[in-house]
Amino acid sequence: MIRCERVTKVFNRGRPNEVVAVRDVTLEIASGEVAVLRGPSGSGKTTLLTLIACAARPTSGRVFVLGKEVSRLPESFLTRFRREHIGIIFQQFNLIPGLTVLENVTAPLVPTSTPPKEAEERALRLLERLNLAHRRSFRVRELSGGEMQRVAIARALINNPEIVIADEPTAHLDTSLAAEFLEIVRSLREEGRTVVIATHDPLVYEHRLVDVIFDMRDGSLVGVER
Amino acid sequence: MSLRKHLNILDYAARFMLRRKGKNLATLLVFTLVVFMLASVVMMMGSLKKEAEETLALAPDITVQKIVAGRQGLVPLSYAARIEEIRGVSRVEPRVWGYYYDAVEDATYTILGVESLPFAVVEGSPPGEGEVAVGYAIAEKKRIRPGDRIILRDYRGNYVKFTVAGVFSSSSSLQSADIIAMPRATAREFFGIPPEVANDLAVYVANPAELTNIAYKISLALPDARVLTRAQIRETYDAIFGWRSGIFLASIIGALLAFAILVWDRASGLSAEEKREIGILKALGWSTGDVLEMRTYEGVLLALNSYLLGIILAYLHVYQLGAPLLKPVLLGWSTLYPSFELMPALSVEDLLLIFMVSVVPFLAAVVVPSWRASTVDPDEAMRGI
Amino acid sequence: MILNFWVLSQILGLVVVVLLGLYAALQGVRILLRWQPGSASEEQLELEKRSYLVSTLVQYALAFQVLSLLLFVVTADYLASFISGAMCAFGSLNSNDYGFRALWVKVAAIFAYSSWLMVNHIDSRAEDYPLVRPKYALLLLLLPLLLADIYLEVRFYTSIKADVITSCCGSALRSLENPYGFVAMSFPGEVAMALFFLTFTAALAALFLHLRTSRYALFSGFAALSAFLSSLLAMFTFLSPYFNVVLFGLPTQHRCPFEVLRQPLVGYPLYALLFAGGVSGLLVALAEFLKKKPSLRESAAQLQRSLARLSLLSLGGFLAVSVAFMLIFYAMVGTLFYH
Ligand SMILES: Nc1ncnc2c1ncn2[C@@H]1O[C@H](COP(=O)(O)OP(=O)(O)OP(=O)(O)O)[C@@H](O)[C@H]1O
Ligand SMILES: [Mg+2]
Repeated sequence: MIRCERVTKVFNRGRPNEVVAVRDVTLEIASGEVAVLRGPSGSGKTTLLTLIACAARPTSGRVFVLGKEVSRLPESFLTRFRREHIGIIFQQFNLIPGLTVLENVTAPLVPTSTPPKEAEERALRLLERLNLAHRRSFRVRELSGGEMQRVAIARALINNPEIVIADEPTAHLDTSLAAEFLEIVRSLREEGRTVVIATHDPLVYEHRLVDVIFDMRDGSLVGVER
Repeated sequence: MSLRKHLNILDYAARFMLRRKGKNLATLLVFTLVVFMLASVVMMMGSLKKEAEETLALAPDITVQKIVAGRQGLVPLSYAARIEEIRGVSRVEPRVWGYYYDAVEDATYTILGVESLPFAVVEGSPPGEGEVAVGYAIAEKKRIRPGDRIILRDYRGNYVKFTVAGVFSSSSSLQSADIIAMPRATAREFFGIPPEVANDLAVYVANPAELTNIAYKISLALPDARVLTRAQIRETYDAIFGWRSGIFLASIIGALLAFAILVWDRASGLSAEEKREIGILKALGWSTGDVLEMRTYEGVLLALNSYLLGIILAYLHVYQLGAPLLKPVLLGWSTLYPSFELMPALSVEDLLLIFMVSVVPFLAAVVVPSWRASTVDPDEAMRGI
Repeated sequence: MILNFWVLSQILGLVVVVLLGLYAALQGVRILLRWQPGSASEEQLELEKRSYLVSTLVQYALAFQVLSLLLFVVTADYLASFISGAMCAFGSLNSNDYGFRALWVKVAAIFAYSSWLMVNHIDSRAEDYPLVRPKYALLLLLLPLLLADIYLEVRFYTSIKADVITSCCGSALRSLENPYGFVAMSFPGEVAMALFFLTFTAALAALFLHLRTSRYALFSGFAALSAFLSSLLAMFTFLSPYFNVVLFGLPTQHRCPFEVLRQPLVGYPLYALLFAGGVSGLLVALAEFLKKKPSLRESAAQLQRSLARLSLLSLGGFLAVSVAFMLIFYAMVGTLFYH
């Protein structure tokens, strides 16, 4: 499903501010698993997620997603692959403030040949499922943190992805909202999707939903718990 | 390849712009203004050219003037007889005419001595002995109608009273607008031109192909004559239009350049919020090409809207309002053109031309900044920058 | 030397195209020198992004070039009133050595830019970008065309002399000394007409068969291009009088190919159909070569079909309009063979 082979990501290579954000990481996540990347701030979790999420290419090493090598793919194909197979929930929600909830959720479908009607129907179904249908024409600014989180989730699911990636999903949520989020993760797993979460929130990594935990320190993988 | 995708992006681009009304409105206004100025000049020039062409159609094939000490003098009628002898000349007409300064209106009219009026009388009848006919612009300005009196000061300083027999107009309003026509004998008396001379001679030629040749023969036969063919007059007209409009166009092209710089600047200086939105879109699965396409549509939408708006405004300005902003500059040789109506003369070619000098440089100026804006890395947005 | 608003705006437009072209070429050189297939380096990513810029720039250049060709003919038509003896675009273009050359370079440029864009389009749909190097090398070849274009056009305007009498379509197309007259005279009406219908029949049949069997692509392209060329010949010889007589009531000797543009609603769509048919026909053949690369086969084949369809429809449309005008002419004059 997802396999990293000796993956390294270096930023600003050859310059004084060179950073090795991910160092020689090899890991494998099976289909339908809930995986957690755990580690302190700056340990390279987000960077590794961008590589798995096909948002960046590694400096060296190989990344396979859904059986396809994506580490050497040109940008446009990488983007297309991400658009078709991966849903991302960002560290800071990353909603577009000027747009309504519905428009935010359908934004990933704009550069595809999905007719607007169909896109809206899909978005509405997701919003209903996340109990947000009544907020569909609200602007993002008018939402609470938990609602924003759920909009971000709806948006990540709009392309019906096989893989859902979440970066610090509970960082801005209180305990009950975090529990709600984990319920959503459970339903995603029941649908057979693979979920990868970067977090240092015990509430998440101690949950029994989690199949595998990867521990990261300074960009390296230091332990795997199953 | 699917059209649907492009429509989706176009739709998003339109909404992207509408969300930033303030910023785009300023560009839209400036752009519209540039197109408006440009289109006004082009339309005006088109009309004037059409006018001039029709005026030229009335002009004689050859005009003969006498030059005395380097200046234009009166032509003896004996010259007419000599020209008539040249083979190929069908008719020679001595013309009597002159300028008349009207101190009350501070305007200059042309007084024309004619046997038959070359214009269509719209009201009243052609002038008889002691009568005049006036162009409709004068009629309107001085509020005269057929039957009224008009008092003009002749060469001796005497005030002469004329009855206005008729008001005329022609398809070429440029020419007939400021003309007072009277019988030739009356005009001679008014200006004090003796019967054996005329202002100039209008020569008509049977075969247009021989025109140049005949003009050459006339100038050989009458060494002190200046011989003007219609083509030469036409060149003079073109030169005047070219010169006047040239100054204008040069300044407009200057404005265009300034505008292009402004556009470049605006397009490159994306607000933090715009940058963020583009970053998010990239992270959501928009490729560089998709974002670039969106930004291109933005430019195209802005350009087309300004273009259409500018053209429509210019059309109203020139043809409905009579170009109040341009007329003083382009028609500077006479202060009297009160209700001077311009004939609509707008062609597909003119539209293309205006497109070429406004929309094309604009789009070219935004392409590189648009591209630069679309190259944000998706992983940056993932970090929430 | 002639300088007025028309000429100025034409040159301004061309300068814009040249600037875009030079910038694109510069980027192209950079990509050509540093491209490393399969590399995931940041520099490679940067070059990938630049390739978007290049293809956008060439797209712009193509769009502007189409506009520029149109305006060039229109400007030439307009300039006719300043040149003794010239009555339409033909006379202006014929008034010095550069006019017609500039026109043909522009026509060629449209074919060349379209070809490049198609190669680029197909190539960018394969994950390995197999044609990057040839593609950007070809891009550099477009540059001389672009420079020739602006050079010839500026020379055309600067060489115009209002007082030198030129011969216009009426006489030039009948004189063996004029190259166009020579061509026109060596193809008598009937021969040009036969050639016209022959090439069109071949092109339409080949394209149709190609769509059916996906074979004969090269022949289709060749035939479509021949139909394009024979149409140009036809417009200089037997075909234009049908339009000129029906639209303007001109005498049948008037064989000017530009006259029809004076009725923009007929002229522009007519030539648009012809160019669309010719260009897409050429691209059908070009796509056949791209199909040889395994990673391009599928997308090239797909595009080839769309292009073949476009070419078939456009050429068919051109033929239909032409035949319609011939029939109206027949109804008006009572014969088709006026020559
Ligand atoms: N674009 C970049 N350029 C330079 N350095 C970078 C860049 N992105 C990340 N880094 C560096 O890489 C390292 C790992 O960053 P990363 O964001 O992956 O950590 P993280 O584990 O997600 O931390 P956090 O828990 O705070 O989100 C950090 O030291 C960071 O400074
Ligand atoms: Mg992080």
